[in-house]
Amino acid sequence: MSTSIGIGWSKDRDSLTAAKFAAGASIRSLGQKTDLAIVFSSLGFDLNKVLEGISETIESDNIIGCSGTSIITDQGVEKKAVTVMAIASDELQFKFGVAESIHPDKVKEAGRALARSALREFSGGKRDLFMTFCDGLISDTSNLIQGAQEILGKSFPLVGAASSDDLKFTKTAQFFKDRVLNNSAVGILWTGGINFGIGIRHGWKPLGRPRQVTAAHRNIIKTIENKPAVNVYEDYFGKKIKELRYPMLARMGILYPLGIYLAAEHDYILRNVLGVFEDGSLIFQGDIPQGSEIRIMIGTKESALEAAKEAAQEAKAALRGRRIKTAIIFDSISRNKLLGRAAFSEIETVKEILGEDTPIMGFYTYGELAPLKALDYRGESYFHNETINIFALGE
Amino acid sequence: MNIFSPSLINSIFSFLSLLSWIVLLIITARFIDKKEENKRIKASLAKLEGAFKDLDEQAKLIVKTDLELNKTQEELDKKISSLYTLHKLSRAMSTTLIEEEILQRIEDSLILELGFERYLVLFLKDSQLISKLNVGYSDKELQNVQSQFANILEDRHLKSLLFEKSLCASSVKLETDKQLLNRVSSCLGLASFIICPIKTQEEFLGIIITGNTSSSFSITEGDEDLVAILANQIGQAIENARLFEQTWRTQQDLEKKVKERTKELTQAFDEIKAISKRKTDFVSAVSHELRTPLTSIKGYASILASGKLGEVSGQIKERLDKINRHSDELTKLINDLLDISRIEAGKLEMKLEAQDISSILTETADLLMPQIKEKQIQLNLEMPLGLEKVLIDRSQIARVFINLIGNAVKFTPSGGKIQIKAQDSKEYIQIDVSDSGIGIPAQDLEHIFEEFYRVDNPINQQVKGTGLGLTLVKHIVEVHKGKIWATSQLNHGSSFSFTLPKAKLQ
Repeated sequence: MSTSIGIGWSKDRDSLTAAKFAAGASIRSLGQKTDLAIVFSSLGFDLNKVLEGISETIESDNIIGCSGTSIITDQGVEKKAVTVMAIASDELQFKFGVAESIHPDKVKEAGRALARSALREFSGGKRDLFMTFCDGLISDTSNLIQGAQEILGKSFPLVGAASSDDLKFTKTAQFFKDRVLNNSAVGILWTGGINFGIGIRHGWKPLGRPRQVTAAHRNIIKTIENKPAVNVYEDYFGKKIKELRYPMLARMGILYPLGIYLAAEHDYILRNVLGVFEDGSLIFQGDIPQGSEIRIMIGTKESALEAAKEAAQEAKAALRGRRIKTAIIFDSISRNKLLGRAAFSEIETVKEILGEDTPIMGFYTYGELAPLKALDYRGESYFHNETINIFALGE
Repeated sequence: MNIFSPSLINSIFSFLSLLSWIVLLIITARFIDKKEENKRIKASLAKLEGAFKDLDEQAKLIVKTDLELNKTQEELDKKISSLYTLHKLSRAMSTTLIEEEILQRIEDSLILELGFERYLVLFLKDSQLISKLNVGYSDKELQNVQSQFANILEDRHLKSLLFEKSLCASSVKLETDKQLLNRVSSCLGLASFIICPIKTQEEFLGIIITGNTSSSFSITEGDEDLVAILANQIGQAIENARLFEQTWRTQQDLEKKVKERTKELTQAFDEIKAISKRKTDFVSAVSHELRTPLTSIKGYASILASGKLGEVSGQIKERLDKINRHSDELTKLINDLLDISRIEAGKLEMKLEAQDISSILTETADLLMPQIKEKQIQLNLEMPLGLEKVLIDRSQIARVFINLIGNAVKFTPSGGKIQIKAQDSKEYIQIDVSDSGIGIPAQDLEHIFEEFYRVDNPINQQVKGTGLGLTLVKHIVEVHKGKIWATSQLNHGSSFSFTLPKAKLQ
């Protein structure tokens, strides 16, 4: 009974060559047929060719994954690259789930559909984890998670990330078997008994006085302290609403997100602002409940690196001394922006904790999905922004 | 007795009223206290609120400063990364000297590090745009750009910027020319763009196009400089490759020509060798054919001269002697010719042995002593003691000495000097035979070793010779792997030098 895992990546100019090389490298040490290939690719490639190259190489279309703004490899951060993690196992099974063409008003239903489609093939045994990749342009991913958890169970571990597109916010991609999808969510139900650890941290600090959300619906805040929500940013940035038009606001918003205080967690959950409506309502990536107390948050390189260290330690600690076989890093694009040229030092910090030889892969996301730890939340998964989310698979 | 006397009641009343006054006073005092406290608390609260507001204002200041810092850092980061990337690009391009490979060496991920989404390098050939590097365009989009952009390049404004002033054109520079800006933007599918000419020193090669599809990532002047540097690097790399190619080609051509000429020369040399062999064979055959009748002539002349066949008169005897003498000369000539032929044909049998050169020299000098004495010539032999032996065929080298010393005697007037000197050099023994004779004119010096060449001088006119002596000498020396040469000063004398290999080296 064993599970083998291999990772490969390539930055070859040609889409097919890059895919074949990355996939070839990932299966080199596998020794048996690939059961699952997790794929992250930047958008500079012809993604259909990427999937074609991978499935041809691994001789199967058991592919799941998504597009990312820059790809994380154990050698560095690459703007144009494709990375493949191949898993072959005679003890684990992987059940594929998908929800396509998600209607903005029916995101929760899509979450349910995603979970149901994965469970459809499940015939009993131990369910371990649901890993999902959803379109980063879906505006209330929190609902998607809630929908999925209604089906899978509120406390069922759910981890994943939102696909991204080089900060253009126009089109991101999700990979499901041999198809490249948009505006969709794809997922894998891991079954058969795995040991894993998840660590998630942001490192942003609150600044200025707390304010109360006086009118909000899902991911849109209409008013804060009974004034148009955008006033908060206008105030802090010293710029008028006209100058804060999308995507300018989105770029500034990733550096200064809003923090919702979660008393039980002793921490803030962060929300990126994506845009602003004419009436001054703000659109966020993820829900913000009415009545929440929010603060503007600020990040520094030091605090971000410290948070990465803590996240890695948390993931490692959860494995209780088991050897880490591999790790997937879902790192927020905002951290890449904040760290700039030092982006790879964050990955190096993680490697130092997990072990220099631990094979890693990952990408820069538009949002991270991971459970909250405090008992009050019963391990329910939330949608996070600006975090480094580390999934470590143990022996 | 009434215990509640009016005075007592009055006293009680006054006590009660005093008490109530005291209570009232206390209550009032308390109330005033509370009010004061409230006031103080309110004042503190107001202070706190003020401080809180101040803190929030400070927070705003921090955000603004941080925003500026982030912006500056982003720009700085971008510049540093760009410079670093340019360096890497330049290194990548310099790994090849093949023009077609230069742009192939640039990795997409590397070029994307410069911070633009799309890149195109188009070369212009016969007003056709040919794509050399494409990052970010689909095949169809590329076809569109290739077919339409040549037309746009005809625009006067664009043409002047790119081709006349060799400057970059960008969405920033063309902002005032809205019509052109829109044409370029929609053709390239770029909201912001930079177009830069790529040139070598002599010619315009093409253009590099780069930019972003989203208007939120606008172009700065720094970006223009960056792309200009990249365009310049590409131009230089191509120029270097071309220069290398040119040099390489010239060298190849030269090598080819040298090979061709060598082949021609080898052919010519082979032909000459064949002709020379035919000549040698012919001379050898003729000489043999001549020798037999010559022996007969000499024999018959001897018989006639002996008088065995009848008395011979003085006049006849004189003629017979002449026949005999001329026959001898002819025999010598034929023998020399035969020897030369043999040497040339490699048929001369050599008996190589380690020999002492002094003894051969002394023997030869003895042989020629009668003539030397007759002309009262002073002969000096200068032989160092312990001279190493040479590897030679003794009889052949004796012929060399006879010829050379014989010549020296012949051309040195009475009372003159002949000096023979042997000297030891590293691998050879060198022998110089010098005389104080009439010398050889410079124009003849280079021909004296040729067959039948005779220098035109009074002595040669008087004394007969075959013109084969020095040719034979040269052949013999060379067949011993030695060299021979002559120097001379007209009317002062000549010197013949030759080398022979030392015995121990063989």
